[in-house]
Amino acid sequence: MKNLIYLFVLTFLMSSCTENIDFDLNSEKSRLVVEGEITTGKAKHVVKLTQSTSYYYSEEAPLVTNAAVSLSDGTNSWTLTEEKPGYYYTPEIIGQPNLTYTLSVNDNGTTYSASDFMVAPVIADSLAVVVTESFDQEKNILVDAYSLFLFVEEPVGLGDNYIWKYWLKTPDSAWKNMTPNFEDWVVANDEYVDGNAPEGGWELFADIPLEEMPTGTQVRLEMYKISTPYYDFLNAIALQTQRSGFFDGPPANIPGNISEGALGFFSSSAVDSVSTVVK
Amino acid sequence: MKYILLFIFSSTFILANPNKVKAQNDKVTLSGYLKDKETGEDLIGATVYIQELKSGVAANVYGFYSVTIPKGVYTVEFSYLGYITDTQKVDLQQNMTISAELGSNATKLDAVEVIGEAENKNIETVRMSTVNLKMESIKKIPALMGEVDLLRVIQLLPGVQSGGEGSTGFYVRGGGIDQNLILLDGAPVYNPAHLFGFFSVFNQDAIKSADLYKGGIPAKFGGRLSSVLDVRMNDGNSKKLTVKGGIGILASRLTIEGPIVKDKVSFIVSGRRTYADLFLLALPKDDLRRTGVLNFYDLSGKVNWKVNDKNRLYISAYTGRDNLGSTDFFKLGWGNITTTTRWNHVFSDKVFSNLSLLYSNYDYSLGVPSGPNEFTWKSKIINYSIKNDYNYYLNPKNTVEFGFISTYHNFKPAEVIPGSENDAFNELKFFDRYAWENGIYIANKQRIGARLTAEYGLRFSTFSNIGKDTIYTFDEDHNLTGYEAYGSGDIYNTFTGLEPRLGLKYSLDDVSSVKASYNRMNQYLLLATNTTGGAPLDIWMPSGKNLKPGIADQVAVGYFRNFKKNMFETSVEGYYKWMQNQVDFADNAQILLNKQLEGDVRQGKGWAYGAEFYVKKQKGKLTGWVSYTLSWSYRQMKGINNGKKFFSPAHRNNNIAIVMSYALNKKLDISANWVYSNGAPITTPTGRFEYGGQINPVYADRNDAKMPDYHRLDLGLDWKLGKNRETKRFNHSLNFSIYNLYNRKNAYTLNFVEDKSTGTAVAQKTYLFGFLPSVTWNFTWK
Repeated sequence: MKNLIYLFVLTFLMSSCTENIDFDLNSEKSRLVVEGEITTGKAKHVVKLTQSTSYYYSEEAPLVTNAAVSLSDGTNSWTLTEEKPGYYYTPEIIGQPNLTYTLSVNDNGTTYSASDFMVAPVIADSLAVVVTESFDQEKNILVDAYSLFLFVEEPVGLGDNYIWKYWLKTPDSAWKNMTPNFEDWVVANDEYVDGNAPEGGWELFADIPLEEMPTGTQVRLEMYKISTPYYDFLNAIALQTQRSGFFDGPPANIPGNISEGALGFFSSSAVDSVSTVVK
Repeated sequence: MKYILLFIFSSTFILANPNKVKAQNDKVTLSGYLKDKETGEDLIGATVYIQELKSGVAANVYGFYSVTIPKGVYTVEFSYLGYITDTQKVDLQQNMTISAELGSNATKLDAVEVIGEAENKNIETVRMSTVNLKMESIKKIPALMGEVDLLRVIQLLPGVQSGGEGSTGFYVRGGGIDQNLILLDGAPVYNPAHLFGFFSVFNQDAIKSADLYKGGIPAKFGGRLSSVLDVRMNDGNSKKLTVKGGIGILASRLTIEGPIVKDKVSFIVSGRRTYADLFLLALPKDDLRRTGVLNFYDLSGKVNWKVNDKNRLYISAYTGRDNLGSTDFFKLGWGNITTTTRWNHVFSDKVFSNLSLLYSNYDYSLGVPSGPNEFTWKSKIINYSIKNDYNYYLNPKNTVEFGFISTYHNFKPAEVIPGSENDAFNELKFFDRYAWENGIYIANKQRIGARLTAEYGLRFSTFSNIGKDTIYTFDEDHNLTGYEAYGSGDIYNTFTGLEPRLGLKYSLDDVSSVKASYNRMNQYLLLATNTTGGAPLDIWMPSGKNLKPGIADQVAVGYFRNFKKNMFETSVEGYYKWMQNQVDFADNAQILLNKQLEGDVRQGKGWAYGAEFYVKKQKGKLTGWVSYTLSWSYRQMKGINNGKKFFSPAHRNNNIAIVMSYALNKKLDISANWVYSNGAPITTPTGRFEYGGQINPVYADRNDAKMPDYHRLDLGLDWKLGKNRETKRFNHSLNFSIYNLYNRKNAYTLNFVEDKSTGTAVAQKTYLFGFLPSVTWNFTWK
């Protein structure tokens, strides 16, 4: 709900002008950055290690190689192998709900650790692809577009946090991740919607051009149920990087769960997915 | 409560004995009202000077004066800057009422005159850190889009800093944007800005004058830490029906005023409205033209009834609203309503009383008008007050003021109502909150010897939280520990404060004086704002169990000197202000729709100090002023910036304003103003990391850098059309103005973001107004 408000105000107020300027900045020492997740899916779960840089750094973040990375659920533990520089993979395992997963990274003599509790997944009922009206910014007219509606009853009780992502497979191509980056995800909690199950479903993704999903396209919606610390982390990223210039709060650091002052987050997510086919 | 009863009892005692005072001395009282001969408007602060005694007194805000002197024959001068002095010979053997109507000096009036009292009033008065602005005189200062604006003009004065072009607030002497008490005929105005600060709610034709107190705040005011802006509406021409107005590019205004019963009952009605489309055309981006809705209006009315020589009644009301949105997609609106009913009564010629009943209502709402996501979010703050102020003209050396104000506050923080079709969102209602705020005061202005005047006073304030309410409780680490519930009408928490006030003036000679002042102010309502400059969605929170009231102590000293027979007025003032319980928020706090907002509040100390230099030329063809302020403003609180001190959002090291007006000839006046200030403090990133396929910033210290400097030049031209004779019934003029002549793209905010097209991290500034010309046609018919 808050995001909706910010989105509306932001779109309207982008009537002011913006311009890039030269502005000198100080730089702090580089720190370890962890981006990794274990899910309830059967896969080789990956952890990416990079370094933080000065703000204006002109290249991609440097990868951290030859680190010793391991994962534990309290009983079992696994070593992650660096299959390509900076990317460390677990063997093929399935994450289990109601366990706390702890990641341990040893880089350059310092040991970092991060823990996240794996919540139980919510099972979705079904997915529908519906034609709705969308405002085309460039042509300044209303056009038809697709929206994805999820049918599920939100469990009663506050404290549920979610991320939704989706994949498409058009008849003549492979599965494509339509929401690869944070800006594409839909992240929400149940603060204003606790326990609801709207008749028409939850509209999660909208304004998808009709051409992107021709008849016969398979659509898979993934629902990630995440912990509250991970939700707070993602919320902070949104507050700090989606700034309208008008209603922004003061800048603040994004609170991760890695020790020793490292940045980023290691998360545990319970996933469920639903699919449908475009008629 | 008991203090109010004690007060009413003692004031009755004083009032019951005026005859006793008279019988004991051979003194008699001369009193009356001073008014404008042409319109009947009260002349606020006009002077009554008795030549033989070489002393005088000033009229109060209702134009009432009273002076008690020995029986005798006197030459009395009634004067007011910009008016022809009226001198009368008076044989004073018993109490007498003499009212005077002064004729305007308009033909000789010089272009920009910013004080309405005696020419050397700045030297003589004990008041310091105060500026009086008459609407008539500020009309010539070039304005944004042709709308003359009181709030913009006060930002040209020393010690006053704009919050930013799009912001609703201003900073006075390093204090926060919520620390200014803005009163319209006595009723508080919570959001004095239309359209995010582009214009204020004060319609130039409805307003008579305003006083801005930056320091040395008199005991009769309380409730905000840093300043008081006391705005008075016109009473309405009691002699003749008059119509005034203007048509401009952005807005049009119309005012009708006149007598209902000549010299007895008068009225004034003023309205103003903007046109959305034309404004949007001035914006650079195309895509909003079609869908945008942007308008505001304000409407005020006043009836003024002179019942008899001793009683007058005023009823005034103001309502204004802003609406913006994007047709079907969403709507946003806010507005103020204020009403005041005032009864002036003169007891025994020496005691003047004003009793006011005030009502104030500020609300805002936003939402989606229709469709599956329909919802409305509303928030309001409502006050009811009763106020009684007395002026007791004890003798020529002592003028006593005393009174009380009692206010009932009702806060409705938020109510979110989904539309009937919307079954996705739940209804959300925050608890209403209630509070009772009181203040009583007494003060005396005393002339001690020939050179020294002292104004000393004491104000006692209280603030109580009233149920029905549910308060969340937090531990020392701001974690929620539970809640406490209170029943309807329970008074569950009371704060009190003693606020001493002191002002001293010592005349060195006829042309110079030194002044000093001290004031302590308490503030019980604190503003939760997400932005540094303020926005209509800000939330007013009452102090209570989780929020301590703000306290400020300010000392100021100054040297005032006039040159060349009062042609030049100059002053240097230094101040130091200590503030306690300043409000800030925890990192990543959500201000909107947060039931446990008080858990995210952090309070700590603030301090500000500086020096203000001011030179004003008030006579001649060229008039105007130069103001320079050198100042610092800091804060320090646990939980922010690791407990280290940081610059407060109000900090601007240097602030310069140059305002000039030149009367070319009888028809043309040109004016210019140039403003300069350092940029606002900002927090800059010291690093970045990648996550989720994007760049994310890392910060170190709060407000470690500042935005680029702000400066701009405005020009104005006022052209009186037709044969402009005093006796003509219809007069009109054209006003041209250019805002930001050299089109400097002053940064409104600076954000460090990822430029998606290149994948690099950049510093991106948002700017609002470039070069903006406008034309307004103004007319008066009487």
